[in-house]
Amino acid sequence: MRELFGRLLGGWKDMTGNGKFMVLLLGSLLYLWGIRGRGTGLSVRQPGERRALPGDLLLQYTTLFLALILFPPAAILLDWYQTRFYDFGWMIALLPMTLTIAYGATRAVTDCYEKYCQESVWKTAGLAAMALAVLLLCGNLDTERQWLDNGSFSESFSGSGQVMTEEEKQIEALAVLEYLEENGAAEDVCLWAPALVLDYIRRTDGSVRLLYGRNMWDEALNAYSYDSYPQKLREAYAWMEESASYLQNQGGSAEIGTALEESVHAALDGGVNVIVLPWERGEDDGGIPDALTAAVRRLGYEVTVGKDWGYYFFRIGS
Amino acid sequence: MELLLWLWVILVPFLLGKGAMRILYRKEDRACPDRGNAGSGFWCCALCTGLCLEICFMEAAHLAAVFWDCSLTRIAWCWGAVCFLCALLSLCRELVPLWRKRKRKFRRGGRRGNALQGSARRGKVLQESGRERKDGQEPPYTGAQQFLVIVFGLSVLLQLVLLLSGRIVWWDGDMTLETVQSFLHTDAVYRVNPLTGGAYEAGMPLRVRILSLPSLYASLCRLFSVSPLLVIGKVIPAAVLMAAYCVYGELGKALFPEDRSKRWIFLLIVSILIWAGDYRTEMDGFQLLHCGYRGTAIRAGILLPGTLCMCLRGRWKTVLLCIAAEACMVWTFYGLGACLLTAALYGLVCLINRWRRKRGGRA
Repeated sequence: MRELFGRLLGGWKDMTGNGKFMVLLLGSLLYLWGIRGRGTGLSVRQPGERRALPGDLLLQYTTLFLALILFPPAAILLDWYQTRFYDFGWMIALLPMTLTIAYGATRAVTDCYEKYCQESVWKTAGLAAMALAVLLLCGNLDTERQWLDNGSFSESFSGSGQVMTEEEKQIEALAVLEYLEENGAAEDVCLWAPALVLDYIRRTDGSVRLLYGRNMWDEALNAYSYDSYPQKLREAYAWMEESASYLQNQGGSAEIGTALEESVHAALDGGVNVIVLPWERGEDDGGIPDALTAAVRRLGYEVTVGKDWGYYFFRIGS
Repeated sequence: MELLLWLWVILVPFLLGKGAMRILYRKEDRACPDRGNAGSGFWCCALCTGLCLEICFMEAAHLAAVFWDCSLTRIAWCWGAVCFLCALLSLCRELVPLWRKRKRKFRRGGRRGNALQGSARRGKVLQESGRERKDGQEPPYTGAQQFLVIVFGLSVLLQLVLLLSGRIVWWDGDMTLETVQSFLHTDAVYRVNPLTGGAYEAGMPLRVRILSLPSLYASLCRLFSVSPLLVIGKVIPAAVLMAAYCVYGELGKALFPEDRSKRWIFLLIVSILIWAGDYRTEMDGFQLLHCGYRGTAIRAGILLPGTLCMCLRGRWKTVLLCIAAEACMVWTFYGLGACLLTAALYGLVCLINRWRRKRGGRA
């Protein structure tokens, strides 16, 4: 029971943290019940009419649903019904929030207009402005926009904390694909590159295989598959991100040694035939590209190195 | 081909739904002829029915691909052919009687007297029929109502422009685009891991494999030779947003049947709530503006309000279709589905009302 209350409270806080639509919903319900109780509007029914009015039914439905979510025994049942997989934020989101708030707000605005503002255009304009302000202030036009402007990487993505917009990520992926196509390496590619490149590759071209996918840094995607990455691939990912950050002047370190050898070994075992590294530091690259080339050659593979679009391309042949 | 895609997305659900409604509601519409009018939620019901049928048809094709290894091209063409033929039949069913009616009117006008008299009579007949049509309609829009319509239209237009720019799509935690690209590349369904392009090692959950939305998008890409980014990032979100407004428009008609101004104010407030309500991923505004391609957005924007609308209108067969459509898209993540829960709670509300009326009658 304590755990249930905790989850319920957590879901409620989540839904009321950034915006106040729950407050608007409760306000709408209070207003609609209030005018219903006064015998006006909702409860008016013609003689002989068998069904309740749609507004009445919506009000009762929303109130019942909200009561079930907030009433613990019913909340347990709803929790089991949705297989206990998601938190109560999603359950609360199933309420007809937009519909009920819009209905309540429409009734409130039109009732105020009919009572106080019919004679004056200025009063009508003031009422409209106030209603608009309440609706906009209870929401938030800006929060998610910051996420979108700053890119959508999770915080666990890279030690450098680099973020990019979706457009920038797409440009990086397109640049790599264009180079591969121009240099006759577009067939049967298995790619190992920094996450900022890999993020958009398979969204742009389904023929390119990757050493690891977006679920390496976007944990939510692991729900779609039973596959998981072995430890050596995770270490290869960590090495790639550290080196990419260093080569992009974003921090990180130029680690050459056993980590590099093991990562290259894991990549080649995974079938990688193209490795991509950023090329922004120019000559001051910490010796990473040379060390990588040497490591691949030590394992018995041929390497052709190219530079374009701000990246090193290591094409590996047997 | 993009134009054809847009025409498909806009027209086929309506036509399919209209045809299906003639079959599903034949008995009810004969008993109550007003149910077939626009004022009784007919168009919204047609849209919901058509969308649900498209999804259900695709589910059948998708299961064939998953369990019987049918290729994507084959299931795309089968699904496309079924939907197109049904829509075409429905269109013919609508157009043929209209054409016959017109032909009869012109024939009546042309046979009696010379061409001038005939055309004058034709004009009179058309005028009279126009006058007859006008009697059943609402009065023209007032200035204030026109203002409301314009403001609402501008708001929706701005939302569509943002959606069609493709710059506000939220891709996190979702791999629909990779999945569709994989389907198109391999011409098969779930043969490779969409995230890596390699073979599955441990496989994927059946509850995810049986969901048909990626196959639907891949089929549209295959049929119309368009890029998945266009379909998933722009066309589908725009279509879902417009369909959501259709459903909310119908809800407005149900809630404010006598007052047109209130209906437009209601729609305007819905639009504002969508703008302002994108502060959390679970909110309707976020789903419709940033994730319109996802099953959860289609459920939040169309199926759930559509289920409520159909419950209010008494269109129970369409409610069943909404429940089935949700099951084909997202249900395995949420138990038995939110539409079923909605319909069940609505039924409970009706039962409580009936019990109270009986108690009130006995008292």
